[in-house]
Amino acid sequence: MNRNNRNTIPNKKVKEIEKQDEKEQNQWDENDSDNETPQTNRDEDSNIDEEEQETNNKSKKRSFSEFQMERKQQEADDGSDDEDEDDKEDDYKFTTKKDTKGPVGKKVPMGARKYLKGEIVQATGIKNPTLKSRVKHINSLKVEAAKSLMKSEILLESERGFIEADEGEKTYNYRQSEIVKNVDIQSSAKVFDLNLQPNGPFSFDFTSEGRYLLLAGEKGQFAIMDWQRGKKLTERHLYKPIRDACFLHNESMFALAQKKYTYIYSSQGIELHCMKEHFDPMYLQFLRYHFLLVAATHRGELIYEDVSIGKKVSHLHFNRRLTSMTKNPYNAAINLGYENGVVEMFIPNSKKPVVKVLCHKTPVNAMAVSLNGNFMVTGGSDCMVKVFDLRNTYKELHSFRTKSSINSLALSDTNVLSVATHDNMNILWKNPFDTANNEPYLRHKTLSPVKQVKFCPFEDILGIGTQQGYSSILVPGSGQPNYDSNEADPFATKKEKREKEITALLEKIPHTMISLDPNVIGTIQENVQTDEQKFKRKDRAIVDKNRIPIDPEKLEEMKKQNKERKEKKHKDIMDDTHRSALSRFENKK
Amino acid sequence: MKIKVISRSEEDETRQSTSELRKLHRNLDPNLHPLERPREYVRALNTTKLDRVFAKPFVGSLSGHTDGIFSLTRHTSQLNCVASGSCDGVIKIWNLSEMNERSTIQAHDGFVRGLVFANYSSTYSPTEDGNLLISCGEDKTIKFWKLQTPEYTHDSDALPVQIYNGKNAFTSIDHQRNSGIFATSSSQYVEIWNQSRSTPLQTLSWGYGSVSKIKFNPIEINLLASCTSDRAVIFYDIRENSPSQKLTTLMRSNSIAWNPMESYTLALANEDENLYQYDIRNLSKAYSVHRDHVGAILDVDYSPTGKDMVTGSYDKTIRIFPTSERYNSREVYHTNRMQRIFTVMFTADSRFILSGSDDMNIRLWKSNASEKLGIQSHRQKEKTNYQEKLKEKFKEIPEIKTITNHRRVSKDIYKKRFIKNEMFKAKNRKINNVAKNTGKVPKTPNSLSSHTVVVDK
Repeated sequence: MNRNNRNTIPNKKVKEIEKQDEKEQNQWDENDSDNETPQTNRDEDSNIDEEEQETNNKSKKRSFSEFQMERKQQEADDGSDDEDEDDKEDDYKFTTKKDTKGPVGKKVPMGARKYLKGEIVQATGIKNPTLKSRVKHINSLKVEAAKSLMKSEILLESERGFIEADEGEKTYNYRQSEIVKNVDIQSSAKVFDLNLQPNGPFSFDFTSEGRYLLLAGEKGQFAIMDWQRGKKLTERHLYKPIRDACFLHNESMFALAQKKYTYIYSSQGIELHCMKEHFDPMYLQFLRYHFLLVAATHRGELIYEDVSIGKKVSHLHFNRRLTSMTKNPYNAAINLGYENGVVEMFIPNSKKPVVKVLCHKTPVNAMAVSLNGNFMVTGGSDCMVKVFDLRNTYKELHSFRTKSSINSLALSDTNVLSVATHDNMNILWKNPFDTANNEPYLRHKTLSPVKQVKFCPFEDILGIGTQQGYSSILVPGSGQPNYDSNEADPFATKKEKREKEITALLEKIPHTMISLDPNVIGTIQENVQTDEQKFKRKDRAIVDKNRIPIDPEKLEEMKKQNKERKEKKHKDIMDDTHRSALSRFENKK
Repeated sequence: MKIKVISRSEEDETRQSTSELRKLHRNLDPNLHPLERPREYVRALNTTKLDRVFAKPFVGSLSGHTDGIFSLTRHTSQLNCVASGSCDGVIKIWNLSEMNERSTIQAHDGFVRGLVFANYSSTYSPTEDGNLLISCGEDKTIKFWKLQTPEYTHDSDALPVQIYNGKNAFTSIDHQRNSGIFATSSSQYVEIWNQSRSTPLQTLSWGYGSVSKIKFNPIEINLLASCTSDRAVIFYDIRENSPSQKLTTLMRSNSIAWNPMESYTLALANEDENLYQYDIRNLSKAYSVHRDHVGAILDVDYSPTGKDMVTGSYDKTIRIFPTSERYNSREVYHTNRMQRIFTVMFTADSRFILSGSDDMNIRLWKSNASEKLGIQSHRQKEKTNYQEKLKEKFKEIPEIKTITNHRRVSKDIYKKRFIKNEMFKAKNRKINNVAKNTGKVPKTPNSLSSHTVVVDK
C-alpha cells in the first residue's frame, strides 16, 4: 500500500467549465415562455435569502419547462408507464407534508422551523371547547419545543469547516496538496491513497459513525480498517468477483454481493452466512434502523432480508435493467435507477414502486438523497446532474451539465455534492440545491476511473473508490461537526457499543412501517371511513338498485285481484251451506 | 487561503481510565435523528408491553385478624401507620414499612364499625398529632385509645381512656381535621361530638333511613356528608343545627368519599355497580359515571392527589378509576383467595392501596401496577418519565391501546360483564324499537341525570 500525492487539474480546464456555465445560462434566458412553475416549498436548511427567492423561481421555471419538453417526448414513446406514474402521485397525496404556515406557524422563527415536530393543526372548526383548547395547547407546546431546540444550538461545541479563498482566487483552483499544507497534521494524515492494483475497481463503505472502512475490490479482495488510526482489522482475497459491499449495523459484520450469492462476513473475515435467495446480486444497501439488508439482483428482484432474525421479509420485482441503487435516509425507501432513465422508489409493503420519476433520457448512473429527504440528485450518462424535489412534486428543480458522463454521486451530511465523472474528475458543489449556484466548490482529479464516491460521516473527508484502489481527500465543510453520542459515536467505548447494539435491536422498526412519509404514524387521517360506515352505504346501495318503481295502475289492479280472491275464499267457507267447512279439502281428491 | 476542517483530539473524546466519565455529546438536529417518530412508536410499544410483563401489583398481606375486616384508617401524620378493625371487635395497628403489627386491642363486643386517628386534646397541637385512636362499634360505645408516641403502639391490657355510650349501635365515625370535633352515625341519626364531652353536641336527622357512612370534607371542614339506606345522600353544615341538602339517587350508596383536592367533588359507591362523581354545587346530575364492576361497590376512596379513586366491590375485585379524562377503570386487582372487599384505602403517599376483605386479610397493592419499588437513580427516573411521555403520545394507537387496556379477569366476572353488556344493548334496542314503531325520536336515558331522583334543600 502506497501513499501518493494526487495530481490536480490545470487551470485551463477550469475556464472551460466557466464558459460552459455561461452558455447554459444563455440557453435558459432564451427559453422563457412557459408559465408553469413547480409548487415547491422552500427548504429551511439551504441558505437562500429572501431576496434571492425571486431569481430562483425564474430559473426553476426554465428548468421545469425543459423538463416538460422531455417529458412530452417520452410520453409519446411510452404512454402506459406515465399513466401509472400519475396514479401513484395521486395515491400518495396524503403523505406529503403540508404547509405549516398559519397563524401559529408564523410564531415559529425561521431557524426553529426544522425542529418543529409534526404539523400544527389549526383549531378552527372544532366545536368542543375542551378539545379546541387542548389542540391549541398542543400547538403552543410544539412551538415552544421547537424554540427551545433551536436555543440548544448554543451548546454545540464545534463549527463546520470551510475554505476561504484569497482575493482574486477561487476555491476550486486549490489542489489537495495546497489544502493539506494548510491544515493540522492530524487532518493531513487523513488524506491518503491506497494503491491496490490489480484488484480494482473498488467499492467501499463506512460505518454509521465513520470510523471503519470496508474496501471491496471487484476481483475479490476485501479489507476492513480503522482508517483514521491506520489499523487494519482484516484482509482477505476471495478470488471471486465482488459487486458491492456494505456494513451491517456496526463494524462486526458486513455483507458482500458476490458473483453468485450475497454473503455475510464477520469482522475477522469469516463467512457467517450465505444467502442463496439473493441470486446474482448487484447492489446492496443496509437500513440500520430496520435491520434490513436490501439486495437488488440481476434477475430483477429486490430482496429485503431482516438480518436480526435471518428471514426474508419482502421480495419485490422490477423489470428494467438496473444501473444504480440508493436509499433514502429520511424514510428508508429504496431508489432504483434504470437504463431508461427512470427512477423508482420502493417500499417493502408495496409490490409496485410507490413513485416513478423520469429523470434522464439515458441510464441513471448515480443517485443521492439528502439527509432530510427533501432532495434527490441524479446523474446520467447524458452528462447531466439533476436535482429533484422529493417533498410533493417530484419535479426537477434544476440541473447542470458535466463534461463527461457521471459515474457516481454522493451527498454529505451538510449537503455537499460530489460528482465523479467518467474523465476521472471529481467536482464538489457546496449548495447543490441552490439554483443560483453556478460555481463548483472544489475539484479533484484522480489517476484512474472512479467507481464510487462517499462522504465519511462526521469527518471532512471524501472517500473515492477507483480502478487503482482507494483514496481519501479533504473537503472542508462536508462533515457534520457535532455528533450525537446516542445515535453514532466515533469514540464509543466497547461497553457502549455492546449496549447500543442491544438497544438498537430492541428498537428495531418493523419493515411494515416503512412508508414515504415516516411521520404518518400517530397522526390523524382525515375522512377515513370506518367499516361500519362502509357497510351501511353498501346496504343502502343494494336496496336502491333492486327497488322497482311501482306503477300505480298496476298496484290498483293487484289490490283488486287480492280482494277478489279473499272474498271468494270467504264466500266458499261462509255461504255454501250444503257442504261442510272441510269439504273444500275433500273436493281436491 | 483560510481553511478549517473537523479535527477531534482523541484525548479529549476518550477517557483515560475506566473510572473516568466520558462526556456524551448531543446534537438535536433532526437530520441526525432520522425516522424519529417510528422509533419513538416502537419504544412506546416496547414500554407498554414491558409494563404488562412487570405488572406485579400485589405487595403483601397483613394477616393476623381472625375475622373479616370492616374498617381501615390511616394515621394523620405517620406514613407507615394504619389501623384496622374486624367484626369480632379487634383493632390492630400496623407498621406498613415492616409489614407487621404494632399492637392488638380487643376493643368492642361485635363489629368495629368505625376507626379514626385524632390527637388527644381539645385543642389541636401538631406535636401530639395522631396519638389518639377513636373507635366505635355495634356495642353502642365510642372508645378512646391513647397511643404511646413515638411508636404509636398500645398496650394490649391497657384500658381505653374514655368510653362514651350512645343510644344505638354505631355505623360510622369521622373526625374533623385539626379540631376536637368528631361525628358518628347510628340508625337514622348523625351525632356531632366533642372529645371532651360525653354527650353529643348535636343530633341531626332527615328521614328514617339508617345512616351507613359519614365523611367530613377535608377542605371545607364543617361540611359533612352521609349516605343512608333509603337511597339518600345528606349534606350537613355542622355550624347550623339542621341538614342542608338531600340528594336521592336511583339506588342506595354504600359509601362516600370527598376529593381531597377539590372541595366540591364527592364520589358515591353505589349499589347499582357503578361509581358516581357528583359536584355538590349542582346535584341535579352526576358529572361522571364509572362502570366496570359487576357487583355492588362497597367502598370508595380518593387518592390524596385527587387523581385516582379506588373501589372495593362485592364481586371480589378492586378497581382504580382515574377521576378525569376516562370513565373506565385503569386497573383491576383480584386474587383467587380474596373475598368480598368491604373496605379500601389509599396510603397517604398515594403509592399503595390497602384492602380489607372477608377473608381476614388486609392486602397491600401498588396503585401503579408496574411501578418499581425501591430507590431509583436519577437516570432511571428520567427514563421512566420519558417512557410515560411516549406512552401518552401514542396512547390512541390501537395496538398500544389494546395492550394497555387488556386485563385478565376471572371467568365469572368475565361472564357477568358479558351479560351486563348484553342487557345494556337490549335495553337500548328496545328503546329504539319502541321509537321506531311509535314514530318518535328514540330517547336513551342519560345515565348521568337519570341517577339523580330528587334534590331537596
